[in-house]
Amino acid sequence: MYRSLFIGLGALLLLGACDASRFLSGKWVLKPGEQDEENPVDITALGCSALEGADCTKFIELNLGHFGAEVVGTMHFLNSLVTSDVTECKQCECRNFEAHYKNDVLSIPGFTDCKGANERTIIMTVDGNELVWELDSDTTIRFVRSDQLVTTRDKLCDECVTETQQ
Amino acid sequence: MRHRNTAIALLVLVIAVQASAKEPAGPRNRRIAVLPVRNFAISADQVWQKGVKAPVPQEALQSFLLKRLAIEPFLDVVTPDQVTERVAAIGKNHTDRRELGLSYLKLGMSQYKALQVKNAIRHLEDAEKALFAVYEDIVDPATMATLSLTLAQCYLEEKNPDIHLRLKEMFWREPGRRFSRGFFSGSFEQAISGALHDFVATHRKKNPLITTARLERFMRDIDVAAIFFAYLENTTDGSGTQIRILVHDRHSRNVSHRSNFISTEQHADLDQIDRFVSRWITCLPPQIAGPEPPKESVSEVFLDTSFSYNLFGTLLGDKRLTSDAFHNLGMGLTVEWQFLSGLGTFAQLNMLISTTDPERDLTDSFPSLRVIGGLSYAYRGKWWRIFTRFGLEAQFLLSEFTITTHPWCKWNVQEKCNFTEQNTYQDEYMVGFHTALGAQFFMTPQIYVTTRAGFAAYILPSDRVELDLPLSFEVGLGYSL
Repeated sequence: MYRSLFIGLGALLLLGACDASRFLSGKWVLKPGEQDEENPVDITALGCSALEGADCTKFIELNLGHFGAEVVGTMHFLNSLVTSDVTECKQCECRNFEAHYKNDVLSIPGFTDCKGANERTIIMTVDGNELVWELDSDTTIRFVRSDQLVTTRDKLCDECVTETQQ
Repeated sequence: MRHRNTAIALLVLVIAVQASAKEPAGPRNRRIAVLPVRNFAISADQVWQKGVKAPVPQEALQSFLLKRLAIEPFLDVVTPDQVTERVAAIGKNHTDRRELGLSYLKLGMSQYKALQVKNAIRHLEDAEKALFAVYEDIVDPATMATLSLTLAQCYLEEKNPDIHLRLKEMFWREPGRRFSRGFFSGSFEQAISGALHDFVATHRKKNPLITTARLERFMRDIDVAAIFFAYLENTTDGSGTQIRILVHDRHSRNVSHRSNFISTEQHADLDQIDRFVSRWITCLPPQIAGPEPPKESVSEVFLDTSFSYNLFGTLLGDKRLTSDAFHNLGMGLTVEWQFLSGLGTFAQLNMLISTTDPERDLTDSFPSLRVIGGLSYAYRGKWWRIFTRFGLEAQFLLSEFTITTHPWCKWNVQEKCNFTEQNTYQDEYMVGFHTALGAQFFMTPQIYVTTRAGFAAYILPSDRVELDLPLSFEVGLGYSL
């Protein structure tokens, strides 16, 4: 009980600092109404090729750990809004990344496409309580914070990169 | 080891010597001083009768006064001779200054005799300043009267109007001084007569030390609570002699008690003096009439509980362990025993809980225990006390915790964690030197608010310096036993 009291006092003292340096931590999902079950995101711009038999319309989920200027996380590309167990390696299932955050801009360098090639830097910006990602000139993705907690499974990503499903 | 034992033995010896030098803490009688009685009952005729032995009624008066005061059980009477001894024992600076003043006096008088009047005035005035500061007018008024007389003679040569004041000052210091007709020039004899007439008629005989500040300093220097000053003077109509007794004490800035004029013609003067002393004793407030309360015991225990804030200084440096400093908050209990005036020993216990840092380099908060002990040096005012403390400090980290700057480690993804950037602490302890500076502000004689700032440098364990140089700030409420 005393320990909680002391921690609470400390938390009060440091409340302002904690908010700014931990803002992005948590689970981010597609903004309802813009990319919903009827409208998953086309990730062709990320190197997915429908011609190679892949389903390139995905629901994207971000799991972020934000520590000051440093951010680590996983980006999951899901076929359904309901996360399923990852039992086998599929094309563009997920990506781990290390990013930098400064002045409301999340910069993710070295992001590769589904073939593990074409490294690029993804830029997301904070717009109020939303994370905005201009995937290409036609596609803007908006993420909002999910109430769900980030689980250990959410943090895991086996980045198996497949050339094609031949 | 041998050196440590020697140091401890020396410390014990110093404490024992100082403790044995302390005054016993029992009640102490009120100490009063009786200054030499002065006889201002002088006339112009007497002044010019050098060689004629004048009656000295003041000796009988002084003797009776001393005996009467000595009867009182709660009084320690300091006689005029003892006053001189106490003044001489004030200190080396006092003695040196007196020697200097006497040298100036000797030089000034020889210069006057050599007709170097200006130089004589300069050195005699320097002598006056130095000797006045060491109460020479109280312990050797005759010498000071000679100084006043010589200065007056110099002033006559220089036509300085202060000659009148100097001659009155001479009669104040030594009213029994006699002169031979024809020894001085006519104008100087005239000046002496004029000064005497003015002195007898108008001089206010009130404070033997002249100023209130000097009187207070004198009583403090010779450690007395009150001063009796008695004198004889002519009655207003000049037909007889009367006695007056003044009492000055340290509790009032002016004369605290003044006798009526006691006429020596009534042959009942001693009874009246007796009644005056009795009245003075009776009229004193109870706390002053009785024995002085025992001096406040220097032995005192201070106990306080405080809110504590602690920050490791190494977290602020260039090679810091965490990106931002984390803080430690908690409570402290301190006990200090002051066993000599201003010197004591203390022990302090702090229970602290760390907060996590903003970037979560410290993955979890941890409790810690600080134990400090050492010596305390203090200076106390009326309602405050400042102190500085030196001693040894030990800090025990009471739970396992991890510090890392690698984001994957912080996010608890073991597969990607770089363990070389991660330190785990378990059952750690640090020992080092501690110093603190603080103050206590007394709201009542027992209750006080305290604040202190401390600093430590750890020397053990020698290979672990990441959590070092703790700065601590505390605010607390205490009780003085």
